[in-house]
Amino acid sequence: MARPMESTEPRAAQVGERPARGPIVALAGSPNVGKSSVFNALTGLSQHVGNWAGKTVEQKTGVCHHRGRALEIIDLPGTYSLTANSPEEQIARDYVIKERPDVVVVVVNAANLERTLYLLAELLELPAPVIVAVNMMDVAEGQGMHVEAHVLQAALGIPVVPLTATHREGLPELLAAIDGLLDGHIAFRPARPELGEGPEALIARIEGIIGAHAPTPYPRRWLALKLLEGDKEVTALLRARLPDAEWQAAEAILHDHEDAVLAIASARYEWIGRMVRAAVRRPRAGAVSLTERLDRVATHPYAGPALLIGLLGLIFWLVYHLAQPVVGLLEVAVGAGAGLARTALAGGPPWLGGLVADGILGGVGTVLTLLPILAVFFAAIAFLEDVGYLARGAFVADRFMHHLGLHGKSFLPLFLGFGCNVPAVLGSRILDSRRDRLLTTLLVPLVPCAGRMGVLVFVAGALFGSRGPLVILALLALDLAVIGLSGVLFNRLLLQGERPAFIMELPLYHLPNWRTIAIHTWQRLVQFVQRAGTVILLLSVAVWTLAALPAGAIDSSYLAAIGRGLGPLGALMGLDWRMMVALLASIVAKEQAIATLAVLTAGSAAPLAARLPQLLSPAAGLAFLVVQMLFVPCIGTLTAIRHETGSWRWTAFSVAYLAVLSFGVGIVVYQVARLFALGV
Amino acid sequence: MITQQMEEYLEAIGKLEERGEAVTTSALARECKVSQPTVTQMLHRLTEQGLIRYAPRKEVSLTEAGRALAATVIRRHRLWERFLHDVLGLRWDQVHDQACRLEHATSPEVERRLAQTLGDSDTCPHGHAIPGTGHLDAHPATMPLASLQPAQSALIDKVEEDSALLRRLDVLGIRPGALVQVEAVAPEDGTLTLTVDGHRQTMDRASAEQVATAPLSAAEAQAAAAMPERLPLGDLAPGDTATVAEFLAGRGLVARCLALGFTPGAEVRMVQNLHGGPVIVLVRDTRVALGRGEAQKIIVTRSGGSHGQANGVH
Repeated sequence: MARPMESTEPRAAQVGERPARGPIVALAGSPNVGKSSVFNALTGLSQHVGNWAGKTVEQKTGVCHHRGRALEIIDLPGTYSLTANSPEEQIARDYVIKERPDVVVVVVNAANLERTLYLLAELLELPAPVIVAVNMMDVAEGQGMHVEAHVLQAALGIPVVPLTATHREGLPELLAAIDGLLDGHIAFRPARPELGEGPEALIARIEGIIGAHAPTPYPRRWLALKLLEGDKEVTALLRARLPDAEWQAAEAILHDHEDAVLAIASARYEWIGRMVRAAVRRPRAGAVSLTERLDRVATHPYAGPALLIGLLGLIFWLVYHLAQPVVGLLEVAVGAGAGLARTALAGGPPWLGGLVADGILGGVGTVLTLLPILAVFFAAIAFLEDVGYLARGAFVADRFMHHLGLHGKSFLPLFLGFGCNVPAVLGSRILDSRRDRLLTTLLVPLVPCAGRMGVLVFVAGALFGSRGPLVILALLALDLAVIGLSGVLFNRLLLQGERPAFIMELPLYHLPNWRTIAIHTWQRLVQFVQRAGTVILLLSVAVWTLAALPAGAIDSSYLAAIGRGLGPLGALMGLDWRMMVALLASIVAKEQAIATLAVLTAGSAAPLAARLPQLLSPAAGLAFLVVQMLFVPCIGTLTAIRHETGSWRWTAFSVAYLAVLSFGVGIVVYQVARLFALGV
Repeated sequence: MITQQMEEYLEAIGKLEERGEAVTTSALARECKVSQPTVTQMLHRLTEQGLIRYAPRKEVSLTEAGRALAATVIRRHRLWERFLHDVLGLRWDQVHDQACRLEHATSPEVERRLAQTLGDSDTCPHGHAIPGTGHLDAHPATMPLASLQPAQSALIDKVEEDSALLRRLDVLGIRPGALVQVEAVAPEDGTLTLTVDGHRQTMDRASAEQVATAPLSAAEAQAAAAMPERLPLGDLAPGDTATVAEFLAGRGLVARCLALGFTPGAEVRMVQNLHGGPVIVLVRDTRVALGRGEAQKIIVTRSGGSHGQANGVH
């Protein structure tokens, strides 16, 4: 059945073009095959996390030292196939075709061999030496399945290594196989998927039409295959490259065989079925798997949402009990550092002490105090993803999230936003499509974080006394409505027609791999400090400068001048310039609004809570609460938005939208409240 | 000038004729939910336009032109219902009202494209024939479900378009093409015990009066039980197994389905299917969650005899 692979260009020449670098090993695999465990097992902590050139897709590289050789390991994005439907798939196939890695290791899931081998069937069409790593052997055994790797190896004609990456079992064998291919000790005679008479004949005809026009470095057969599969990128490429007559001939074939894509996929699975059948022993029928039992609860119409809310509540509990004490200690340390700086710089100009103590150390403090909170959030999300729960949560939430045009998975980051908006924005990365990530990122700032809620509760309590909780409830109801309407609005106006399908694998549950979770959390923290840290620091210094210059006092500063400039806008909401400055100051950190008001209204001995009712009529108070709730988020969140969208334009859009929205709703609330005689 | 209102009346007359009921002013008033004088007024206008023949206290009948117009409106209505249900994934109790509005704003070109998109569908989701598809003659003799004798088998032909009824029927698995067998009829209130596609259900008499069936002989019933049946993946009940037949979706979704293992001929088992929300199915040892809309776009065939034995767990 197998057909020997056509010889490809000599590889030695390719390797020779990369002097001073070790051989390159690319890791490919579908989602949920434990690819990152394999990557971690190979590279340990010698990893670098960045982005693929020009994309917002994460790229992980690392080095594996083995027998005096430094193997460069590239982790390709997890994809089910190699059709250019998503940036991930595009990146994975471009890398294999254009960068020509020396070895491609395809990681497959032993408990789910048939479906995860689909990617192999696609990769074998490309000129790359491939090794199959059958990972999660322990999970398969737990399911009562047994995979005989040597049988699979004989059928496929390429090295097949059984692996339990979480316990580092099978790693020496995998490295030996990589060595064997690199040194030419192992013959590489892959069986290439037979696609059946119909598709093969069509491929041959299209190959004939493409002839010498195939653009390098694409293999001609692969181009023909992808054209038949309706691949957008290849279609555009060939339309541009082929002379008109040839393109029309090709198009005529495509038009008559629109269903070829179905036949090709079916043939691949049929081929995989033949390869796998002899190598896998199935469990006895009738056994109820662990996954089935757990899903009876996790995806239950009532128990499922309860579990989801319970787990998210548990995350907040962990933040409160694990992260907050550390945050407290860090705040004390930063405060002490600021005190020391002030003392040390007491001889210099007064602005210098302020800049170092409040501007720079204030910024460092923001970054530092975020870290424990982020660590708990990152670890919690990584845990839920690793054990397989995350997809269930998305499934449960999709019932109502899809009304907002959102993917079920968006629920998690949005909900986490109640704790802190920064990890919520960063957490949007669990979403698979760029559109969903963008939409979620734009909606997160509307979720009131703990800091914002603190300000709201304080002001509502000071102004409305025992009716404060009712006001807060009304505010939250308004907020949910605004989130819903904004979701619908963004969908209609900005992202129209792009709604992706909800179709998602629910992976098998398995025990958490603490090492993977720890490495993931560590990397995300380092990345946050590296990328967001400097921006937060700079913005923090900038805001301090505005608040301190020219005279060193906030009520005569540029910030106050801006606040006074906004006076006419504030007047529409019954807010004087001091309230506007407090709003602007909340961009540094939401709690800052209270501290700023305290400074600006100093002069009376009464505490701020007692002074507020004199500053704000009930109507103006409601307007202030609404604006504070919907206003531009803090610097940390803005930096995260810039980081995740990879675009200053979307960040600016977010700021503009929230500013217009908050002031707009604020004005409406004030004017309506005055009609009900709350203005006095 | 034919107004939207006139189209509604022609549609109502057409439907009454289709059901074999007498087309009287009182029947029309009931059908259109208006008073009898209003009906009389409209009937005069329709007569002036040459669309109907009408004399006071006589039955109304359509002229040639009126009949053609009525058929067009009914056709558009039912095409829209099919489209809303099959392609957009609306529930079958939601489609009637939408279609009522869309039918008047449909150009011949849109009607042609709709029919093209829907392929060989010849009835609305509730089983009523779409005029112009030649379905009319297929089931000449139907009988209300309530009139079937114990042990009698029948295929569901069509159901009345009342949304409360439709929701009840949905829960019972009663839809056109379903195979039912009457097990028993309670002597007190006429409650029926039925097997619907292999699942035992009970049903009140009033609902059963509104379901039309095509009774089967014993031999036909046996053949029907063994016949494969085509339906959207989202209509499978939990525990049902079926094989993927085709996709009613664009390239992008098809590509994702294929990569996840939904290839023509692949076996799928419904794991969880709650009203409205997304579903969970098992395909190639993988649990996959699909949105309701996506699940309606994958057409599967279910072999009639496989019900009830589909509890093997992977």
